[in-house]
Amino acid sequence: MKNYRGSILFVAGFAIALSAGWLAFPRAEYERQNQPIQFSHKVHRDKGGMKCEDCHAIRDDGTFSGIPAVDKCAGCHAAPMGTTDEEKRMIKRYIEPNREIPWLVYARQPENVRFSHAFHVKLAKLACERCHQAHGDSNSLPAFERDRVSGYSRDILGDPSLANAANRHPGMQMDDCIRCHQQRGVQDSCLACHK
Amino acid sequence: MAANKSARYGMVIDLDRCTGCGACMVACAIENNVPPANAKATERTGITWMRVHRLGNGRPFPDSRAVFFPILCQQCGHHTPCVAVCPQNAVEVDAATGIVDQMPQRCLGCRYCMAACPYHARYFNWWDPAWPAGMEKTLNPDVAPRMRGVVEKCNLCHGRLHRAESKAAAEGRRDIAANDYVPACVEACPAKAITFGDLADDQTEVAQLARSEGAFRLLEKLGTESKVYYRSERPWVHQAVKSGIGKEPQRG
Amino acid sequence: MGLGRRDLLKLVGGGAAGFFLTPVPWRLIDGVAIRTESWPGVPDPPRGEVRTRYTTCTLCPAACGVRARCVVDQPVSLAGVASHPASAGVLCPAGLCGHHLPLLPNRLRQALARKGDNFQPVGIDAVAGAVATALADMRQNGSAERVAVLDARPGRTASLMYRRWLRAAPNGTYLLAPSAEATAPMGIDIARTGTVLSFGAPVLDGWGTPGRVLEARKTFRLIQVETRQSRTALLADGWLPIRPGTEAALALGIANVLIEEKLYDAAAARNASDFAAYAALAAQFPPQRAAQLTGIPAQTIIAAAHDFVGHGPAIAIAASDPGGGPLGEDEQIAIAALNVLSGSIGREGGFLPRGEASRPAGFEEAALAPEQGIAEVPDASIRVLIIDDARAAGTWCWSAIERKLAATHIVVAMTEFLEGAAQHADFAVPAPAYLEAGEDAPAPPDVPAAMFSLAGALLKPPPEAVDGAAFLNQVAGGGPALADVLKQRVAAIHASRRGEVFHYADASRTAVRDVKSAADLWKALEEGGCWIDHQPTPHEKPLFAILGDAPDRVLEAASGRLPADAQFPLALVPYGWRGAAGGAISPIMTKLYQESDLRPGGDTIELHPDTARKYGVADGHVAIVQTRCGSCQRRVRVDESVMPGVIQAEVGPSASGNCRPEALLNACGVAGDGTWRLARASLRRA
Repeated sequence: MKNYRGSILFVAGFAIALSAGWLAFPRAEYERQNQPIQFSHKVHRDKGGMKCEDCHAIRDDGTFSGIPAVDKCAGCHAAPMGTTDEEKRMIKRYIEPNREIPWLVYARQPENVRFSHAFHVKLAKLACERCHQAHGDSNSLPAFERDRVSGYSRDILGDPSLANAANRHPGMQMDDCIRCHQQRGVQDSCLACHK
Repeated sequence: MAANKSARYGMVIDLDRCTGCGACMVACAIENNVPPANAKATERTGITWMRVHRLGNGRPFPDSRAVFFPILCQQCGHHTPCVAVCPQNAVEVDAATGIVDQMPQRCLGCRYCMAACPYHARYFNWWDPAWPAGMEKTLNPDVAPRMRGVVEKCNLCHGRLHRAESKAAAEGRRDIAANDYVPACVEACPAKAITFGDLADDQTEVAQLARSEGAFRLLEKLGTESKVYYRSERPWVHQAVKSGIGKEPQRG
Repeated sequence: MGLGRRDLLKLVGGGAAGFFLTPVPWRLIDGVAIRTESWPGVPDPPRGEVRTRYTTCTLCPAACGVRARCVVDQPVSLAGVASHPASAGVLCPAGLCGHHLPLLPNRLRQALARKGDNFQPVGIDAVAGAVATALADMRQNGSAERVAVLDARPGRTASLMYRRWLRAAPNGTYLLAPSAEATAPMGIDIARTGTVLSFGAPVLDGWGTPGRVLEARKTFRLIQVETRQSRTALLADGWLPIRPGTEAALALGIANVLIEEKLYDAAAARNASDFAAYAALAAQFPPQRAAQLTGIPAQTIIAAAHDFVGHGPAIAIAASDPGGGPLGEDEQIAIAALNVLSGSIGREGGFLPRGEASRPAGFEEAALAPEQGIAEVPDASIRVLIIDDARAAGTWCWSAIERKLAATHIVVAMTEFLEGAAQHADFAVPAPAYLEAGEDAPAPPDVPAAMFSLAGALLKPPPEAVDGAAFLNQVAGGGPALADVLKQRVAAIHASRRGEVFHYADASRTAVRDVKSAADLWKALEEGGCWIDHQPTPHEKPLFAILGDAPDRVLEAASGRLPADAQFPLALVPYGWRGAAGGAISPIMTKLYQESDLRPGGDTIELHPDTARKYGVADGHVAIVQTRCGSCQRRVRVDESVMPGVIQAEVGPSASGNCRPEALLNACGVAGDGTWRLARASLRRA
C-alpha cells in the first residue's frame, strides 16, 4: 500500500491539473459581459419581416456595414413598437438622445487586420455562417466573452474547452484564416490581410 | 486575391514640375496615420514615408540651382535589399503588385533593413505614435497605426489598394479600376508631377513615361530594379544625381 | 497520516505533468503574444461608415474646393475637387491638414477676459455687454472716438454685415487687415497668359489660386525677379536675382528698353494721360543705370525686356510672399506700368475687370462703411476694436494696431485660438473654426470672373462659439443672422440669372437660368458647389494716369530703398509661405520643417558662406540679427544659393516652437499701415 502512495499522489496531481486546465480554466479565462441591451434576431426577422441584408450589408464602396448605427434602429423604434421593457430602455437611453449603442462586437478583429466581406461573400461566395454561425433564429444575445489575457473575444480565439467539443467553433484567428486559404489555394501577401 | 495578377505598380516623378511645396508629405502622413513629430524628433528621427529633399548643383550664387527630389520607398523588384536582410521575414515583395510590403507587427526593430536600404526610405518609430488629445478621431480607418520600436515605410498607400479592391469586389470584379487606386501623394501633388500606374502594362502613361527620354532611376547600377522613376530635362540634374549620391542632399 | 515533503513534491510533479497536457500554457503564451499587439500607446482609428462631403476652404483667399472623406461625420482627410474652376483639384499642404485645426489643443472653447497678464473665463453676454456699454457711452458723449472692425478676411458676406453695422455705429470704421491679400478689382486670365514677369510674387508657391496657376504653368513663360532663390525662382524660365529694394529701378529699366526700342503697345499707351511723364521718368533709367542699381547686368535687363514682350500676352505682377511684406506702393506703380506697355490691361490673357456676386438689398455700397487701411486712421482714436478673425494674425505686428487705440479702449478678438493678436485683446471670444463655420468664400483675388462659394459646416462648433455677425447682433440687441443674409445673397444671385453653378460632387455645371428656385441654388451650393460668372463684365478703357500724383515718389523708390549704411551693412530679407506664416497650423506640418529639411523653419537665418565667414558665424551657430528697429536671435544655416550680403529669415513655424515672428518683423521696421519689408541689419554670433 505504501508503495502506491507516491503514484496515487502523482496521478491525483495530474488529474487535478488536467481538470483545472480543461474544465475550470476555459471558464476562468473569459470575463463575461452582457450586451448593453437585449436583441432578438428572430423577432426582427419573423415579426418585423426584416432580412439579414437590411442591417448587415456590403455597401457600394465594398465596406461592410457591420452592426447598424442607432439611426437605423430609430427608423422603426422612434416610438415603442412592442411592450417589452428592453425596448423602452433602448429608446430612452439611446434613441432619444441619439447616442450610439455600445455593442460588444463578437467578431471584432484587431486593428491591424483588414478583412473584406465583399471578397469573401461576393467573390468567394462564402456563406455568412461559415465564420459567424447561424444566429438568425436566436432569441437573445449571448454574453460577450473577453479573454482576460489577450483581450480578444471568444469568437475570435475559438474554443478549446472539452465542454464545447461537439460544436466547437473554429475561431477567427490568423491560423484559421490561413487554413481556409490554403484549402482553397489562395496565395496572398501579408499586407493583403493586414493594414 | 489581389487584383491584376502580375501588376508592377510604380511611378514617374517629373522633377521639372515639383515645386517642393510638401503637399505629398502632408497627404502621406494623413493617409497613413503617421503621427506628428515628437518634441524631440529631428530630420534624422522623424517619420516621413515621402520626403522631399533639395539637391543643389553645388555652385555658388548666382549660378546656384536646385531641384526638389521626392524620395519614397523605391519598391525594388530585384535583390530587394531590405527583404534580404530581415531576420523576421517582416518584408516581402508582393508577387501580385510588385509592392515591397513591410509588416510592422512582425518587425522586431533591429533596423538591419534601414542600414541595407540604399535610398534611406525606411523609418524607425522612436516614440509611441501620439496625436494631440482628441485628434485620434481624424485617423484613417484603413491603416493601423504602428507601435514604438518598429520600422515602417511607404507601401504605395496599401489602404487605398484595399479600398479599390473591396470596391471592385462589391461590384463582382477581381480587377481594380486604375482610377480607384491612386496613392495619396499622387493625388495631392498640386503640380501633378507624379504619374502613377502599372509599369507592367505597356499602354499605361506611367510605363510610357518611364521609357521616355530623360527618365532615370536612382542608383540604377545596383540593379535593384526599383519601380520609382524620375524625369528631368535639365542636364545638370542628371549630372548631380550621378555624382551627388553619397553626399547629404543640400537642404532648402 | 501527514503529507510529507516527498508526497507534496509528487503531487506537484503530477500537477506539472498534467498542466502541460492542458491548453493553459499554450493559451497563456498565445494570449500574452497577442496582448503585446495592443500596445497601450497606439490609438485606435475610429470605425464607421465612410462618407464623402464637400465644402470650400476658407484658410486663405484662394477658396479651393474641398472633398472631405469622413468617417460618419468626422473628416479624416481632405482633398481637392477635380476640375474646380479655380482650384483645379489642388489643395496646399496647410489645406490638406485643415481638418486638424478644430481639434488643436489650444482651441478656444470659452470666452475669456483679460485680468492683468492672464485670461479668465467670462460669459459672452458680459463681453457683448461691455462693448454695448462703451458704445452707449460714446453715443451719449458724442465722442469723436471710433468703433472699428479689423477684418482679416475681407470680401465675405460677413464683411458686408460688419460694414453695414459700422455705418450705424458711432464713427464706425471698417479696417482691412495689414497683411490680408487684397481683393483686387481685376483678375488675371492666367490660362491664356504668354509671359509672367513676377517681381517677388510666389507664383508657384502659393499665390492666387495655386491649382489654376500651376495648371497654366505649362503654357506661360515665367521670369522671376527676386533676391532670394525661392521655389518660384528655381522653376522659372529666367531668374533675375535682384539687389534687395531695387525693384522699381528694374521696372523702369525694362520700361526704358521697351520705350526706346518702340516695343510697347502704342494704342494702350494712348489711354494713359501722363505717358510722356512716364516715358521721361523711364528715360532716366537706361539699362546701365538700372544694372548699377539692381546688380543685374545690363545685357540681362535688355534680354528680359525683349523676353517680356516677345511672347504675349505679357503681364507684370508685383507681390510678395506672406512673410516678405508687400512691395511699396511706389514700386507697385512702377511695376504695374509695365502692363500698360505690354497692353495686357483689359485684354485676354492679361488683367480683366470682374464683377462681384450680387448683393442682397440693403448692402449697396452707400449703405456700408468704406474700406480703410490702418494707416488712414489717426493714432489713439479707436475706443472699441473688434478683430475678426485673429486666425491669420500671426504676422500682424501688434505695435501698428496698438498705436491706433484710444487711452481707454476695448479690444475683442473673435478667434479660434488664443494666439497672435488675440493675445493682446481684452476679450477673446471663441469663433467657429475652419469646417465648423457655415459661411461664404469670396472670389479668389486673381480669378477673372466673379465667384461665390459656400463653405458649408462639416462639424459642429463648440457650444459657446459665435460668429462675428452673431456677436454684433448680441451687442446691438438684434439683427439678421449670417445664415439668413447668405440665403438672401444666394437668392440675389439666383435673381440675376447670370453665370453657372459648378457641382463639386460630379464636376458638372448648371446654368443659373436653369436652376428652378433660390432654394435649389442654396442647396446646390451648400452640398458643395460654387457659382461662377462667365459673362464678361463690360468695361470701357478710360483715360488714366500711370504715375498718378506720385512721379517723384516713384523716382525716389527707383533710386533704391535700402541706402548703404556702414553700421548695418547687410540686408535682412524676411520671407514666408502661405498657410504657415503665422496663425495656427496642424502639428502634421512638422513633417516639412522639423522632421525634414524642406522648409528651414522660423528659428533660422540663411547666409551665403562668404557672408557667414565675414561675420564669424558658421552653420549651426546662433546669431543675433540687429537692425535700427530691433533684433532677433536665430540659428545660422549656410547656403550657397543666398545672395552675398543678404540675411534670409523665414517667417514661419519652427521645431523649437518658441520663435514668434514678431521679433523678426519688428526688427524689419513696421510701417504705419502695419506692414514691414526689408531692413538694413548687422550680424554677430550670440
